[in-house]
Amino acid sequence: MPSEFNTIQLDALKEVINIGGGNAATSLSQLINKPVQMTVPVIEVMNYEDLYQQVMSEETIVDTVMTRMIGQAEGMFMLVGLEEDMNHLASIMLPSDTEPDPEMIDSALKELANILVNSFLNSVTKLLDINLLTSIPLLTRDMFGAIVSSVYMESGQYDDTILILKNEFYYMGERMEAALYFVPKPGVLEKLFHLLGV
Amino acid sequence: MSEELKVRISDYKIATYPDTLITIALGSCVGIAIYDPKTKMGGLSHIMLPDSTMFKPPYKVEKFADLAIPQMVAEIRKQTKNHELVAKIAGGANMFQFSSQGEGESIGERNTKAVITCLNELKIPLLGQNTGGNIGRTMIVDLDEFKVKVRNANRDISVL
Repeated sequence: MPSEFNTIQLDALKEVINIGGGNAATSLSQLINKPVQMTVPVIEVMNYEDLYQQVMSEETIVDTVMTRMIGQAEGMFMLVGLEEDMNHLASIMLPSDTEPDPEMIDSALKELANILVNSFLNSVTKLLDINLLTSIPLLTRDMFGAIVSSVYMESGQYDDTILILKNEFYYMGERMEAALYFVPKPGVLEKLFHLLGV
Repeated sequence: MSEELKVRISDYKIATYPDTLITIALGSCVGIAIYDPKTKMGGLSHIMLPDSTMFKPPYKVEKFADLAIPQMVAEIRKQTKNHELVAKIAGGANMFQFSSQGEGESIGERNTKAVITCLNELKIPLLGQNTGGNIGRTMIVDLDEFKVKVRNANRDISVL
């Protein structure tokens, strides 16, 4: 699938993710009132085995907040991180004078994903002048491999090699160990390139 | 020396006791263990999709239930000269509650159904299954007595 795209298209895709992710980082830093930066977006074609070896082993238990993108283009956003890192992220959002219970943490994580995804999409919809909406976020705690393979499959991406599109965020110089993935439905990237004229 | 052989996503492997077979992180995918009690030879397949006929060739045989299972079974039958095989399966979860909305059956359900249909066609009795739900699973096949351990993301273990 991804070999169909040329360098200009991949650069354009990187720029879109850069804009979306930058906006998401800004919203997050406004929320927690501390600087949040973002790395250059990762756009990589990998097979599942390489993903499990290079990014995270398939049996690692991760917290994943999934948000569906609906409207003129469809896909899925996943905010993925280890439980302790995600708890740490949630605690940044919660008042420091109380001990948060698990429900509060889950709800803070969903809200965090909601903010990241919607600020990402806000800038993208402005850029492309299309209409995109999101579903209510859903939190799953399961094996990385089971989640990722199922998300790609449910999104109609049936290849053994998958296109990884992700942003990583930095907070106070530390990597947050939580990455925002985007999994497009088939045809979505082609549509995007068409809108961008590349 | 016994070895633990790892079966990757969209692959299968065949081994004989004392080796064991393992496949990790089945979500909507299904793991199919096939066993010959006489020779203690068995196979484990990790399929991703139910049906190859919706796709254009060339096919990756190991990826599809309708292709991977018959091929693995034929290899085991050829090597064991035994047609009285048995099966156990796990996986086929629907990992996300919102994934089935308005789209009919989830991939996990379709995978499980396709696997069961295929086993029926091959006349292989299904001795146990741990499928469905919304949880990821790891499957470990012991080839001594065909005990199949299924460990889910909550670290709960059930033996088929």
